[in-house]
Amino acid sequence: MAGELNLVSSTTVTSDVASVTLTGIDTTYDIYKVLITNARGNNTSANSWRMRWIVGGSPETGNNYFTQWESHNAVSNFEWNGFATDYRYSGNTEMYIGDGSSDTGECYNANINLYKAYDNDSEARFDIEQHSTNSGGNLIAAKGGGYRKAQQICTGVQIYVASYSIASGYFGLYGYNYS
Amino acid sequence: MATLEEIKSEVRTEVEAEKPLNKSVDGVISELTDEEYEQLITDRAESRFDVQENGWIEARLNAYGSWQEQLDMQYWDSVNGTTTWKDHIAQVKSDNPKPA
Repeated sequence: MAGELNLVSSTTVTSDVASVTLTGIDTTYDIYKVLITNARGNNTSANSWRMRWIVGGSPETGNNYFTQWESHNAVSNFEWNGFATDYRYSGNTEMYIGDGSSDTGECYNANINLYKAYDNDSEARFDIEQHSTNSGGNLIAAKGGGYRKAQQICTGVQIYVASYSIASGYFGLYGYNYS
Repeated sequence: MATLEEIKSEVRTEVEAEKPLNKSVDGVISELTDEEYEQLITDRAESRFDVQENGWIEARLNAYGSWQEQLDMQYWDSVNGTTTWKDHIAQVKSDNPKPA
């Protein structure tokens, strides 16, 4: 049914894993979506989340990722701290998908739309809305997008937290048709 | 300042101590392959190197405070003849030095 969100693959992490890979992207759906909720790293210093496309069955690690971000950070009294961080990454080996503290009671959450992933004639693209709290307990609300500057079929995504392992969280890949 | 290769060597030692490390692929848990361990070491080393080289920028941005707070400091400095804002900025720069 058009507009209906259909689960393709999911996992709930309850013990440390270096990465979570979700596959199953094909021609079945027009758009795919990754939802991440209550995710935390296995160390209080684990706070920078990353993603790679799965190409040919493996995570793509070439210098092909281009992403851009705005991050709205609140300071201690919840005052807006402006565009505290404005990220632009060109030709990176990974896609940055936001910050989120792994301190007790804090977590990382994201809603990532995947476009043109299973298309040999187009660059795989994504946009993201993400919110979390940083290590100071302050809100981060960020949005951004990016693409892989190569035209190949991507069948999934790999998600991980820089320098550490993922300790917990829900990771789901969904698909939906717009007509 | 450590070089990328020096950091990679440190990370390799840490990963050896952490083994076995697992991955989740569509909910199935298995240990990383040798190739995946190498990629993990590269990723972690590059991430740590990036923090070493560029972490001071984000640390300064977070410590400066909002532009409203800074304008308020400047207003009261102009009224009272103080140097609160200038001292604050100097302290943030001093606390988060740019790598040589």
